[in-house]
Amino acid sequence: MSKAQIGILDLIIAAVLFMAVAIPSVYFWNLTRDRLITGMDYSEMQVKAFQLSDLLIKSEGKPTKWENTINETLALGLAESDRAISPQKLSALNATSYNTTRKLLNVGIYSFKIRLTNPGNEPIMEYGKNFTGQSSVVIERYVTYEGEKIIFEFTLWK
Amino acid sequence: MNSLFGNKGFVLSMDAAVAISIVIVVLVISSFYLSRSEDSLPKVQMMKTGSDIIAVLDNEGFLQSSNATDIKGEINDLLPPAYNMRVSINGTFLSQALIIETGTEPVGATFIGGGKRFFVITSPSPGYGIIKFWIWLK
Repeated sequence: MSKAQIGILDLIIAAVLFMAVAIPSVYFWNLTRDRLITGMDYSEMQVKAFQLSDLLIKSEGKPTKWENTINETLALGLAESDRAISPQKLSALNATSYNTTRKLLNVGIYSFKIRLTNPGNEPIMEYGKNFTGQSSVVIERYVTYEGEKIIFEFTLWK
Repeated sequence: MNSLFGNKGFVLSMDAAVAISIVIVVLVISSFYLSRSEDSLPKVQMMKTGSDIIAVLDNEGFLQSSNATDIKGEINDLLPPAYNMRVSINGTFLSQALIIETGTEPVGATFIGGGKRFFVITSPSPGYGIIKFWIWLK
């Protein structure tokens, strides 16, 4: 066999080996990268959903009587005391436009839905947009409303 | 070491082999890390549930009476079926701590969430108390 033939054979073998390693490596690299990004996105949603649910059920908002002057509201909160929902604040939230609430809650690229039900799953109030996206985080919290225990469900989705 | 075409080809091949090995090691380690990373949502959800339950007990007035049967009944009503919970109530109005458990203690290396809440007693005489909770998966 001449040198040139050996050289070409060597090149072909090297090229085949390279393709055999490079193609699965690129595929696996992209797969790992996508999984990382998806995981980070979901973690961010989880953190934000918990922060927003905490804000709504533990805080009175700012100013504390924001339900009287919605235009001067700096921060939303539905609590009259820790985890006791105020009927007046709930009514004020219901009367506020979804876009205004989105800005006050600073949800960014996400959408949300708030749902209050009694322990028998009968709805008390619903506010926000129904899920029509690709991923969501649903948080259920126990609170009291007018002296009775209810479930505060907060869904953050995109 | 002398090959037909000199040593350059061998060195280049070695270089390529080392580079591919590094890529494969990085991919294996990152894949291993991804498969091991835990979702934190269940643990946070569990702790928030425990915190919410003792807040609801306080808001509904169960802590005012400190009736163990009533408190245990309310906890069983609120606690999701997957969890067990232990509650300890202490305060100026109690001669000794009140301990309430919904099930058996956890076995093995189980994550246990916990927290506490301070509350005020208005009757029969003013005072204050501390309720602590521990919550874990069955």
